[in-house]
This record gives sequence, C-alpha cells and structure tokens, in this order.
Amino acid sequence: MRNGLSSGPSSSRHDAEEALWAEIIRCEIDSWNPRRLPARFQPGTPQPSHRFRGTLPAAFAVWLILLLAALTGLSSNVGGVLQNLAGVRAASPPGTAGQLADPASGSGRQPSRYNRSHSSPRPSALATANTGSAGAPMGASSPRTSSPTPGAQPPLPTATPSDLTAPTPGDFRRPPPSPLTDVPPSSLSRELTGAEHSRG
Amino acid sequence: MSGKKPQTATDFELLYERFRLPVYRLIRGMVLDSGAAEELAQEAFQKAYATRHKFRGDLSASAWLHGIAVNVASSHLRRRRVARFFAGRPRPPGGLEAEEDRRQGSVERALAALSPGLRAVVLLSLYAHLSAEEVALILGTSPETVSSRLHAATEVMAAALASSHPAEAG
Repeated sequence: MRNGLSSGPSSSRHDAEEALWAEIIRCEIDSWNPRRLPARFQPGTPQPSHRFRGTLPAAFAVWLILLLAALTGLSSNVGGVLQNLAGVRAASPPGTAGQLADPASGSGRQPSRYNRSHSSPRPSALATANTGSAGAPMGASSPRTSSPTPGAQPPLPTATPSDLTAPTPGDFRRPPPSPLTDVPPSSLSRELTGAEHSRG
Repeated sequence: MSGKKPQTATDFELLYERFRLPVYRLIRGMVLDSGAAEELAQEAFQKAYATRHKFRGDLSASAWLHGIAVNVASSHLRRRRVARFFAGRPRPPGGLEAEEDRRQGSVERALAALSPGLRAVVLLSLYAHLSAEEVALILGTSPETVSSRLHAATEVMAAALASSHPAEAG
C-alpha cells in the first residue's frame, strides 16, 4: 500500500503483512475473468436492467398484501369477539337464560339493548313498550325480538280466544294483537290493575 | 492515460480497455457475485462516461473509476440487503455462478468475512494500489481511518482463513 503514513519500526510488521495480503489478493483476483463483459466500450447503451429492480417492488407488494390481510383478519376477529361479548351480556341477566335472539336473524346485539330498557319496572319503560310486546321477556317469542324498536309493527301472533274478547275501554296500554299469556312480568300486571282501579 | 482526464470518447475507450478488468474484479470482490459484477461493471462505466465532464484533477483517473465502481457496488449491496429483507429468506450472494465461485478461493472467503466498508478499503488499497489519501477521498474519510481499517481488515481476513483452514493455520 502506498499510503505514505507508515513510519517507524512498529509499522514495519503491518507493512509486511499488508504486502503479503496484497500479493495473495492479487494472485487470486487476477484469475477472475468476466464471461460477458464486452471488450469495447459502447457509450449510450442502456444500463443493464438490474435484477433487484424487478423483484423489489414485487416483494414490497406481497409484503403489503400480507400486512393488509393480517390487519383485516385482526379487525374481523375483534368484531367477532365483540359480538360474542354482546351475546354473553344478553344471556347474563337472570330470568333470561336461554332467551337469546335467534341467531338467524343476525341481530345478536339487539336483544341486550332491548332487554336492558324493558326489564326494569319503570313506567317510562312501560310507556315505550306499548306496542304489543310490552314487558315481554326477550326471546319469549322470537319474531318480536328481531324488531326491538318501539314503533315497529310486530308480526301477527297466533291469537287465542281470550285475545279476541273485547278490550275494556280504559285498557289503553293493552296491545290488541298481543296475547296476555306473553305478558307475564309483574310490572305489567301491576300497571294493568292500576288502570282498572283508576277506571273504577 | 490513468492520470489524464478522459475528454473525448476515444479517451474513454482507452480508459475502458485499460480498466475493464480491474474494475470488474474490484466489483466482484465487493459483491462476491460474478454475474452481478459484470452488469455492475458496465453500469459503472456508463456512469463514468455520463459524468466524465465532472472529473476533476484531484484524483487520478484510476481512483476516479474505482471510486465509481465502489459506489455502484455499494448501492447494489444495499439493494440486495433490502430485497432480502422483504423476501424474508436468507440467501447466499449470487446464484449458481456464485456457488461455483465460492468453491475456488480462500481470498473470496476472507473477503466475505468483511463488512462492505472494510472490503472496499482492502480492495482499493491492496488490489487497486491506491494511496491512503485517495482511498480516503473516495470513501469520504481520513487517511488515518483508512490505515486503521486496513489493519483491522487484515486481522479479520487472517482469522477467517485460519478458521476455514485450521491445519494450514497451525
């Protein structure tokens, strides 16, 4: 090496080593000969397409697709977990075990909301439930559980002869198509008896 | 010719004839892949031809060309590293040709034990016979750093050769 920096006896050994390495390297590297490198320079020829220029975008695209797929799978799993949690919450209140919504209806989270707002004996809850399914436990009849909005028209239930009797004039809270057998909570019976007393 | 500025195409053709093999061999020593080295050598000469008007007199033509070759090889190594990262699989440098090449030389094994930076120092100093000042200008460092790196590189190469040939080393 012609570095000119080596001075003194301490560097003579390094110089000797470097000279030895230079000789070894030159002997071997000088045996490397190209196979296709042209002997004459051709200016203006396009630069050879590099092998990584094609693979790098493809590899990046694959990596991006895998990342998106992983994120999508993760988000769908989170959605599934939330739905399961909602189902557990719907099933957890006492007295409603086994009264989950019909899974085929696709409204797994609606029963819990409906049940929460209508299971309490508050009068407001009774007022909002004045559509035929008032106070009915969720899932007692599956068609009604799929339409929890108060203004929704419930499907026509199977009427019993007792339902066809004429309603009392003051019984404004009693839904005509709802069978009384489907209204067991004590809150509603209390309300009904209160109406009878007020009328009397 | 090695110290003259290549002003015309004829000058550059002479430069190419003179440095075709040294540049190819230096690049091959850097990337340790014969097939890629041929493409990269052509790329280096094309770059040198395109930027020949920027060539100043602070470096010899040999140092200027070898500097371009080292830059091209270093860029290739960086791209290869990124490509391997995205591909997710460790792969030996090169394909079948590199596999053939690996059989032949102990120097190649010793160079493979070095980092690209140390490889550049070794090849520019010990093979291209550039001075420490020229190597420092090419690599953007000081001549003292070049000397210390060269010393460290020779130790690493000796250790690599000793581990690959324990009988000869003993």
